[in-house]
Amino acid sequence: MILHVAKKEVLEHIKSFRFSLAFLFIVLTFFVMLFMRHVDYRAKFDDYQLRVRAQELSLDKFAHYNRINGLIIPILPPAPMEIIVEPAVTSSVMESGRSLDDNPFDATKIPLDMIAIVGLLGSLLALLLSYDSINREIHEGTIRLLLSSGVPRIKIIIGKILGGSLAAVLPVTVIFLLASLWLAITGGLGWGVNLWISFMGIFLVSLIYIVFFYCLGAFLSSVILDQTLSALSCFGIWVVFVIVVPVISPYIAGAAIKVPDSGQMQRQIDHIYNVERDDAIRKIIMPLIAQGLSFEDAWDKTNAAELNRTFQDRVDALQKEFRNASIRQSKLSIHLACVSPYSLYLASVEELSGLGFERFQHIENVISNWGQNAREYVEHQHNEARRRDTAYTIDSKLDVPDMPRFQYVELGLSYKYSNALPYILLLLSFFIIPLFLYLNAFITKKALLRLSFVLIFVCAFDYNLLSGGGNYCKPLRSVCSLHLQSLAGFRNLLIVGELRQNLLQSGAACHSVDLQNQRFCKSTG
Amino acid sequence: MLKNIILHETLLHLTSFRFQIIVGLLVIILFSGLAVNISNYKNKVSEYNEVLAADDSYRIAVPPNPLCVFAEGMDSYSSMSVAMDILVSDFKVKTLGKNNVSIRLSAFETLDFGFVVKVLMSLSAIIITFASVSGERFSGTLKLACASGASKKNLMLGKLMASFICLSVPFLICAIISCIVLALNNMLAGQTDIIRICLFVLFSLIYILFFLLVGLIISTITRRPQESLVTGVLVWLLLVFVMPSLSPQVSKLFADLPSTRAMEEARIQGWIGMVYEHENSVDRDFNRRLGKMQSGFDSEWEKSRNQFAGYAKIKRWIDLFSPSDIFNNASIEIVGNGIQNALHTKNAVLQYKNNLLRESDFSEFSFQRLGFLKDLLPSLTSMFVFCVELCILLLVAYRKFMLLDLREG
Repeated sequence: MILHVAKKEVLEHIKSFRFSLAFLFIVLTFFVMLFMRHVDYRAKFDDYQLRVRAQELSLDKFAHYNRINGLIIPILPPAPMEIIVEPAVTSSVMESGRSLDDNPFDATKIPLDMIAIVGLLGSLLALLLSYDSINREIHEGTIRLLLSSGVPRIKIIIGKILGGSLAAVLPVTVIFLLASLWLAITGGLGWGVNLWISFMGIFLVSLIYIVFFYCLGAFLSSVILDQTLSALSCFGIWVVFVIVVPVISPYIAGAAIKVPDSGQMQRQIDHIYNVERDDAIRKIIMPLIAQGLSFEDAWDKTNAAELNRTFQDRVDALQKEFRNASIRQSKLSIHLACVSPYSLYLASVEELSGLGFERFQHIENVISNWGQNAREYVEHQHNEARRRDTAYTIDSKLDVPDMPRFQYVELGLSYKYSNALPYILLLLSFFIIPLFLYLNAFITKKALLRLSFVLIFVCAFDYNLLSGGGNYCKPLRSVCSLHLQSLAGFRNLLIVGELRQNLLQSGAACHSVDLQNQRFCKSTG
Repeated sequence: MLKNIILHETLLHLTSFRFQIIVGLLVIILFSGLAVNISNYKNKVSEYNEVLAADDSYRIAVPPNPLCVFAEGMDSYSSMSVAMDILVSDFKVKTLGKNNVSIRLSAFETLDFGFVVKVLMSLSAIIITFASVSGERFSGTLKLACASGASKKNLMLGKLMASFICLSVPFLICAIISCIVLALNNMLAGQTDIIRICLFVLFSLIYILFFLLVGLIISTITRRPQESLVTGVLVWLLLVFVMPSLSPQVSKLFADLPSTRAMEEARIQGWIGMVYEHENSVDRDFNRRLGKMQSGFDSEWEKSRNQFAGYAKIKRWIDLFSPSDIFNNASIEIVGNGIQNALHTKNAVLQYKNNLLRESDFSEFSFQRLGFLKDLLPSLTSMFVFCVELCILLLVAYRKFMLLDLREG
């Protein structure tokens, strides 16, 4: 009997005007989205290859210890998943921060990707199909017929959920199938098994999300007898979940947790490096240079390296404080947004595709490890060259043929799933609420007591997940200032060179040279 | 008769549950957005003042626009502090008041008046009007109204005006209160700002009227209120979400935009190569070659900026197909946060850098926003097109309503 009810429900929905309209709308939007994103991905990939080639060329020709930091910049390739999912943060921001030549339209950009299509359009379709699933039958009297035929209520309800959900997920299934077909045909985009498994995960999460909205609509249709009112309530809840909560949460988080001013921090760092450190080291090193020692020898004979390290530690502490506050704020905004199933869906899909918040930490680690290796390699080559050739200076050619090149490796599949798991579980727990309410409202009409138990359970479960209990939730780390962090590594590498230049150019006496003098000093190298 | 219909419809709206919910939600969002935006603006101003007080000759700052409370637009792009390395033409740019990387949490990010009008008021307009014809037709009251002597024209105008009054009056009250709050916080510079806000409100009202007409047409062509609602919401999604999200991508298909990151890196690589060759005595004519390279890069950047200006023009044309984009462009231009001002800011920073490089001007960086008339012109052009679209829509609505067959229940 359940299957009969489900079959009737599916056929009824598929034949309806609203289903056809919404289905067409979703599929057409999807095609346009896929085409646009594909073109965009190709352009990004070409750009990436061009930049890597230019970097290699300049390293071969001009690598020297003094300015090697300008020639080694981590360049992130576009992730293949970007064809269907917009990254949580764009690559350019992670590479080198904001630029004056960034596209100003990005400030008002509305991203269109799979998340938007399923999250906005798919959820709306589910509500459109379900807002009158019960009250319409009550109005038309068909529910009485059905009940008088001896079918238990539970079977009717399960059949309705099953049939309705199948109809609601149909467009999503179609667009996922079309997407996989497109990706398989176009090929050459680096889609390995891991990505296909992630893709499957995204598809399953999308199904859960759509069924949640179907159950929500069905619940409202069983408690609100007026069809127009139930439709309005559905859209009201949709607006709150999909638009209001996600937009408001970062503001609340921003008001609750203050992050130190990054501009002020940068100024402090500049002061520590350019004034305090230079002063301190100059005091101990200049007398030796005056005695005729070279800068490198003077550096080696004093405790300049140790002194330099203390200033670096101060800078590290400042950056750490800033970073921790940023992480706390971002965590809070994500936690607050988790009140909305849309945000949960967004976070789980982003994490599954490896383009979410956790990617920050990963990229930071990759850049940091690479920076460390490259730094050691450059130091080694520099020392070797100094040992071999007495005429060698920091401006001489440095051979770096085997230097580790920056290579970004995507997050592993297990990481992607473990990062997405808390959000998926939360989404499932959300899914339980309307399902339970629906069953109660239709079967016993005495839902309050049971509802309270379910809500307490769900709240406890959610709290446990978000607070990192049960080893499910890895700390959501790493935000922002990544460019500062990543470049800091290479900056440290060149401290000796920069310092030498500063000291030799400007002399021991003053820092506050005027604009023209500084320009002159710098332009004469 | 028209007056009676307006009165009746207005009362119906005012006493309806949906209207109360809509107005309540809008008021809460508008005022919470106002509070958040004022606080953000103050953060930007304090950071701006800090940069000014820092006495760093290589660090300049562009002040925020107080009217970002109404439509933030590209203010997050324009209001910035820039640390300059004039030798390699390198800039470290930081958005004022922003200490965190934006994480995507929603399809729509800002919580300003522009967002409320563009997204929420348009949806409210559809929700208010979706059953105005189909609902009455379904319940049979439309026949009664026509039988009582009310002309179709009066009925349509009455419904439209009543819905417009119901939505616009709460919005106007909120806008006035916001102006008072801004004035109390010393955020209104003078009469120009008041005129800008008035024009912004006027544009908003036209935009609301547009969506009321869309709702009315949908309600006229569909038979059941549920059908009207479904169609209305899908049309809303198309106009407010799908079309605006496509326009930047479609514009890129018609414009060849070079990669600014690649150009930036090439400049630094070129400069390092030049200095390296100079220091290793490979190059004996350093200054001439440096100048040549610099001018080469400058002309390349100039070309890329011109290409971007071309892209912005194409985008503006494509945006004319989307009512939401027209409103967005017009509203951010009129408050001074549009693309014109963003490009003007960038040019001012570049000009300052070039003056320093050419040793022609060592004065302090000072920034003047574009004048009111320069902001007004593109926004008026956009709104003119919008008004034409509105008139066409009005004619369509009128025709559809006139041809409505009341015999079909």
